[in-house]
Amino acid sequence: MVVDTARLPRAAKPRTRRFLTRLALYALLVALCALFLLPLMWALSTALKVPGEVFLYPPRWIPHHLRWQNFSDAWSATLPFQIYFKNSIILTVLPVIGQTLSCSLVAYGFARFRFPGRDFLFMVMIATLLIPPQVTLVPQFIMFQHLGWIDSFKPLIVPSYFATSAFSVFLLRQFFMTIPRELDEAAMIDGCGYFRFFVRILLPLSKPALVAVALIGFFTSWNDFLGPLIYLDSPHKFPLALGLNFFLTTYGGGVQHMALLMAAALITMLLPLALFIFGQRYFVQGITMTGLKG
Amino acid sequence: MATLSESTRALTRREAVRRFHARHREALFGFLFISPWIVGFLVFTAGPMIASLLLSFTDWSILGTAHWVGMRNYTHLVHDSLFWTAMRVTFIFSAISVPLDVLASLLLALLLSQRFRGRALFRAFFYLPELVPAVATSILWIWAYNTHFGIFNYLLSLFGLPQVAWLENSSWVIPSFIILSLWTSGGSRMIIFLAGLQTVPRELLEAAHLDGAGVWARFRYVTFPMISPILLFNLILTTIGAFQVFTSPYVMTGGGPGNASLFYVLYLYRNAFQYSLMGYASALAWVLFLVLLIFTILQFRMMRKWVYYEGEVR
Repeated sequence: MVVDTARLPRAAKPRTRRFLTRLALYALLVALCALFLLPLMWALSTALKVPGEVFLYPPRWIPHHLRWQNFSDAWSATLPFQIYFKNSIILTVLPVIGQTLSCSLVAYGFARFRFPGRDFLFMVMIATLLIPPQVTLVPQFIMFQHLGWIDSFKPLIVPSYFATSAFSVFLLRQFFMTIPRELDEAAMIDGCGYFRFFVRILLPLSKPALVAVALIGFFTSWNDFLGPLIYLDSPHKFPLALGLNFFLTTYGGGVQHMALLMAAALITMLLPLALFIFGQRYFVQGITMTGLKG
Repeated sequence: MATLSESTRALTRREAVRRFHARHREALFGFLFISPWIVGFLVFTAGPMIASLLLSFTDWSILGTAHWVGMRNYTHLVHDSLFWTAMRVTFIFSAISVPLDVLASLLLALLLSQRFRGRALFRAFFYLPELVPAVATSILWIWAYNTHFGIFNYLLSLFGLPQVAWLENSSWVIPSFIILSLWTSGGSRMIIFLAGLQTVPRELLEAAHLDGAGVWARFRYVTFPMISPILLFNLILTTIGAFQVFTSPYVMTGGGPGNASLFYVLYLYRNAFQYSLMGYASALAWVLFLVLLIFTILQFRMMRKWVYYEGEVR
């Protein structure tokens, strides 16, 4: 009996300790999460307010009347965000197609063919990763100006069809190399040409890598600001990033239109958010593929 | 006998010719497949790089003709006080934000690699800021940093702390950008750390635990060496990113107040696209390139001291 009572607290101790550490972990996580999401929640709260409520002090987290109309106003009435959205879609979809197509062609060339200078060229391509884009910025601008491409979408789309993302080529090549060569040989013996093999067999087998490359391309283009800033002048050609900045500068810090501005800012993250929710598996796969094999 | 050997010789010759053709065909197709990159490299990278280097020795502004000025852009740079301001701003920001961001990502990854209910949800929440486009992020934070109505000053007031004029005060503006850069700690960098932590063998951690190693000792002598290559990768990418910060200062402060947040690439942009000083901007770009190159090489050098590669013999 004496032994049992002595043992009891000892047996219970690890359990309560585990419970307490669990509790501490959750408390920490919730606190951190709240801190991280603060600017987003604050923007959402502001986006749903009537103008008079925006500048209340102390601030009110949940507006008296949820004004969802701010979103539709930002979309089409006060601000032409539907036009910016359409431009953003064009300026994202076309480069993503170009990058995925051209990078996989080039990666196939580097992964499967023997030709003189191949390894040297591959090294040159990897070395370009070290060059900051600012170095080529000025001459590229001058070149596009001479071509008369300023204030058009071309400077933001055309380069992507020439495998300009060395990182994507690298990622795809690494992936192609994991696919056994016996497959190539068997296909060739059956009379399958290089191109048919590439389209019919290699690409379908490389879906995870292709999705990763498409995702990288999507975020690069969707978030791009400097490119559109330099190349586009007419407001009706602006993508979302430029439209937001345009609105901010036109309305002097957006003080009067803060609720609309917040609604507009939140609109720009809708598509990335949707992609994230529906493609979460590919997301993590893509990031780790780029990180671990890179 | 003779006919046989002759026929085999003919066969091998035919075989050799066939192989020769196959080789050629293969090489031809190889070049064909990589040709988009060759064209893209020449037109969008190699050509512009040479042009930019040449431009950096001229006084060219979009209008007028270019004159060769030798090293003048580079000597001008040494005496340009704004160049030094931009350098200082960028260096201070990078020196503080890079270690801080990487450390925060690592700590978050360590936290979120524990096993608990709702882990996936928390990971998603911490990732969320990464999904916000840079301009939208800037606008969200302008409002959060607002001196009179912003949420940060309101929080400070709840704790009885003095108000801060975040983006309007020249000594607070860089800390403001450092805090902002911490916001994406839970993004891709953390996911990469998480993937790295998964590769740490459980047996090793358990063995260390049985040998009496505490939490810190297990991290220091097991986890840390195993993830050190990933730490290096994240460190290099974060450094490169920090030196190229542009969108947030452009949108949020325009380099102000005064020139307190004149980041390097912002200054470069001003010279190229506002003052049309293409030659000077090219010189600035090359200096940035060299600085980044030196930093990357240094980080790789130092790597030998602390990065561990499995199976490596020392």
